[in-house]
Formats: sequence, C-alpha cells, structure tokens
Amino acid sequence: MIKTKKIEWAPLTSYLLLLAFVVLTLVVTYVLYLGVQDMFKVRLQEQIKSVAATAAAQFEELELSSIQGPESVGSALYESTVKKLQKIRESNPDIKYIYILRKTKNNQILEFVADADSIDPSAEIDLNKDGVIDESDALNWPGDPYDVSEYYYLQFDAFRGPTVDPDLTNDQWGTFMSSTAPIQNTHGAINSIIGLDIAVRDFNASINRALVPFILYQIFLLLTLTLLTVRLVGTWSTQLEIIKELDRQKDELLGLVSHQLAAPVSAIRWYIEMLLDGDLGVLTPQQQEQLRTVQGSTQNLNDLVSMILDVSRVQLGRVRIEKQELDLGLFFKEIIDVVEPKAIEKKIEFVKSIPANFPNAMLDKRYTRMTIENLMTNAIKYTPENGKVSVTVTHSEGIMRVVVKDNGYGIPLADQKNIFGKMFRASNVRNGSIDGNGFGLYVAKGAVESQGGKIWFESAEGKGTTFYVTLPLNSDSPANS
Amino acid sequence: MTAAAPAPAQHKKILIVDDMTSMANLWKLKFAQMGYDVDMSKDGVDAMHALESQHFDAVLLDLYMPNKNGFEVLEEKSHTQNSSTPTYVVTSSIKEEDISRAKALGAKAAFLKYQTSPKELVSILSTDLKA
Repeated sequence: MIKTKKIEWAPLTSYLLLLAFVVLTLVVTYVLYLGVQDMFKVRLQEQIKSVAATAAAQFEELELSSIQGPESVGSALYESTVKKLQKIRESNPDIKYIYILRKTKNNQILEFVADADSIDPSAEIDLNKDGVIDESDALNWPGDPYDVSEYYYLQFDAFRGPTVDPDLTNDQWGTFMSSTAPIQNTHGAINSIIGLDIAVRDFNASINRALVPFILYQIFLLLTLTLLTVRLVGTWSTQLEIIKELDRQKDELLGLVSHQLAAPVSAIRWYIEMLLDGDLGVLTPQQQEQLRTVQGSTQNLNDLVSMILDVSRVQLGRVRIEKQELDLGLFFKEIIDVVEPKAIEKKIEFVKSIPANFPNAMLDKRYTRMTIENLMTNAIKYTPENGKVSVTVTHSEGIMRVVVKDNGYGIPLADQKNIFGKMFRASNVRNGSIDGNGFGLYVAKGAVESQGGKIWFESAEGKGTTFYVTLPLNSDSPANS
Repeated sequence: MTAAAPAPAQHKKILIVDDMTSMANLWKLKFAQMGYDVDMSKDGVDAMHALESQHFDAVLLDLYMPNKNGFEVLEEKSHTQNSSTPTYVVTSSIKEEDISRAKALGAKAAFLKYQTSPKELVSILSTDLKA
C-alpha cells in the first residue's frame, strides 16, 4: 500500500493556511483603516487648531475684560467683538459656532463672553430653524455660566495652547469638532479662550472614498484565493483517490497474475521431475545434464513466483498459515545444513546455540523456515570474510526466541525504517553481486506476525546487525514479547 | 487383503477429475506407473457419470471446474456407489474457506495443486489405499 498519510493532510493544512491568510489580511486591513482614519483625524485636528489659533490672534484680553455681564450688551466693544466673530465665521463656511469664554473662580465653570449669534441676546429668533421659537432657541448673555466639568481639556489645557476636543460632538446639524485657542493677555495669565465648532461631515466620507476601492480589491483577491485553494484541494483529493485505486488494482493484478503463473510453472517443474526420474523413459547422461540445468532455472522461476504470491498475500492480508507438527530440532538442523556451507565458503565463523530438546510445536513449516533461513542467509550475505555470525535459539513458556547476530556491514540509520518494506535494498551494500529480490523481510514479517509472533532488529552501520524473532510454539496462544 | 504379493494395486481404480489436463496427465502417468487404473474426467458432469457407473478406490478432485464444480461433486457423490470412496481434493485456491468447506463435504484431505509434487501425492494416496 502506498503511504498516503502526508497527502491526506494536505487539504486540511491548505484550508488552515488559507484561513490564517484571510484572517491576517482582514486584521491588517482593519488596522490600516483605523490608522488612516486616525491620520486623517490628526491632520484635521492640527488644521482646526491653527484655525482657532488664527482666530484667537484677532482678540486681546484687555478689550474683552470690559465685557462683563448683561449690561455690556449694546456697548461698542461688545458689538465690535461680535462683529469680528461673525466675520471669522463668514470667512470659513465650516465654522458652525464661534464663541469666547473666560475663567471664573470655579474652574469647573467658565463664563460666556460673546459669540457670533448673540448680537442681541434678547431677540427671539428661531435659532435651530425648527419652526418654533422656544427655550432651545435661547441665545447666550455675557456672564452666563458654562459647565465644563465634563470637558477636562477646557479646564486646563485650553488656557495653555490651542487644543482640540478629542471626541467629536453630534447634534441635529451633524458632526462637529471643537477647538479652542487662548487669547493673548499682555498683562498677565491667560484668562479667556476662543472656541470654534467646525463641521466635519465629510470626514469619514472622504476616508471611505479613498479606501473602499482598495478594500473591494482585497476582497476580490481573497475570494479568488479561496476559489483557487478549493479547486486545488479538489484536484488533490481526486489524485489521491486515483492513486489509491491504482495501488489497489496493482495489488490485485499482482495477486491474479502470480496465481496464474503458478499453474504453468508447476506443470513444468513436475514434468521435468518426471523426466529426470525416468518415468517417461531412460535419458542419456547428456540429456539428464541439460535437463538438470533447465530444472535449476525452473526452480528459480518457481521461487520467484512463490515469492510474488507470498508478497501479494501479505499485501492483501491473505497469508494462509498451515500449521503442522514440527520437530524443531530437525527443523533447525535442516536449515543450518543448507546455510552453514555458505558461511564456511566466506570463512565466516558460524556459531550456533540450539537447545537439545524442544517442546511440541505447531507452526507453519514453510513460512517459518523461509523466515529463519532468510535471516541466516542475510547475516552471512551482509558480513564480510572472516566475520562472525551467531544463531541462538531459546524457548520458555511456550514461546520460541531466535536471535541471529552478525558483525557485518550493518544497516544505516536512514534505511532502518524501510527494512521491512518491499523492494528494499540497503544503501550500504558494497558487494554489487549480492543477490536477493528485496522481498524476503517483507514476507518474513507478514509470516511471523500472522502466526502471532514478532520480528525486530538492532543495527549499527559498520558494526553489525541483530535480528530477533519470537514465535508462539503453538499458534493458538499469542506471543507476548 | 491377502498376503499374495504383486500388490492388489493392480486392481485399484482411481478417478482423476480436473479441467487442467496438463496436471491431470502427470498424475495419471505416475499412478499408472504404480499399477493403478486411471480414469479421467474433464468436469463435474463427466465426473458424476463416472461415479455413477463404476466403483473407484480413490478420487482426485479439482474444486473449480466448468459445468459442475468439485463442491457439487462431493455433495452428489454420496448418492452414488462411491459414497464412501476417499476423495482427495487438489486445488489452486488458497482460501481457507474452500479447504474447510471441502472437508466438511466429506473430502478426506486437501492439497495445494502447485505445491504438492505428483510424487508426494501418489505416495500419500498409495499409503492410504494400502491401509
């Protein structure tokens, strides 16, 4: 089976990334928007402060000090002050109110001095233009108290320099920004301030006009990105399905083909056997020799087909265990008889430790032999001349333990996780002529585990490898390692 | 069986049922060598005709065949004169269920066709038949 775990996680990570990006973009956009809003506001505030400062420059404390109380209404100074205020207002259409206030003994209360509307405070005019003349149209008289307990900046800062109310005010005519500037006093401390309420109705509108196209474009980009991600994920999912299906078909095909191959290959084997046994007549020595060569090839072919069949079975989870009574003493002797000569050929010291007595065992002979023989052959294969291979067999509590240890090339760390996989060949195999088809351990693992056993190893590159196999002697009871 | 030597095998009759003639011929050859009489059937229908018309000492039966398969033959055999004839199933199927089903239907033993050599097969059967 192809490992698809990594690919399976891809859609989730893609969506998470997309989500993170969208959230980040939205947050950044919002922060930017607020920032621009703030920038505009600050600029506006600076502009308004300078308007207030410029207006303040036209007045002088000395003159204003003579406006005291309602009696001052009608005096020349009062009228010229009001007219000046009116002129300033006319010159700047955004100024809604303009007024002068002065300190009192109570710094929570300021005293009204003059404003642009109150040339004749006693006149009854419809100030708020609502069609009715009532208290809401009342004009201010000099001396009228003005409660500034809620406007901190009007208590102190306003008398030190141009200030602006940090909050905007709203009334039935719209949104206003209020600014004040101190009126100069050549004879002492600042006593009066001029205040302007300026309409900022275009404030937010202009920001929006500037930013909305940008935001719309961003949304368009995000939507496109989302669409692309969804399409991409869809493609991946389809690919994944295709891969899985192909993988499954491959496994099935392999099983099918190898099954079909078994028949003709077996037929060839048995016919050759019969020929060599003389069942079909006497053969000349040359004929026998040639036939034996054919038999060798046929055996190889048969082994290969068997191997493919086994691999297919392990792959599809269809390993068929045929338990039979096994004389383990004889069993191991047979294997060692086959394997030991190879060790002797390579001048490898072959140490065996097999118990003299074994309890009864019910195991699959073919698979168990395949596994053990494979491990021993590998140990010899991957150990150089004059090396050492040891085989130790023990049993206790119904479980057999086989340890095959060599001091050969070892398995590099990077390869270790793949060793029970298919087509595996370690990267450090120096001798290019080492044969084998890369399936041995894969089938061994499947075979061992199907019998309730375990197989594992320890290895260090250049030092050697040790393989461990545990098998329950009676497959009905599972092995506990 | 009497002690008279050349083995009573000369009169032993085997029925081989298999749609794959290449393998069946091999078995026939081997059995013939040992002195058995061998009849062959290509499918289950053929096999039933044979089983109904004569007595056999053993049957080698393939499981998967056209027209009538080995399982059906096993079932129907019990209504013929060969109801107690030992039947050895040879099959290429590795499925556990097939083997157990065959045995449940009365097969004496089951062999994997491509893993059992004709030599082995013949020696097992002749051992059983001598007993």
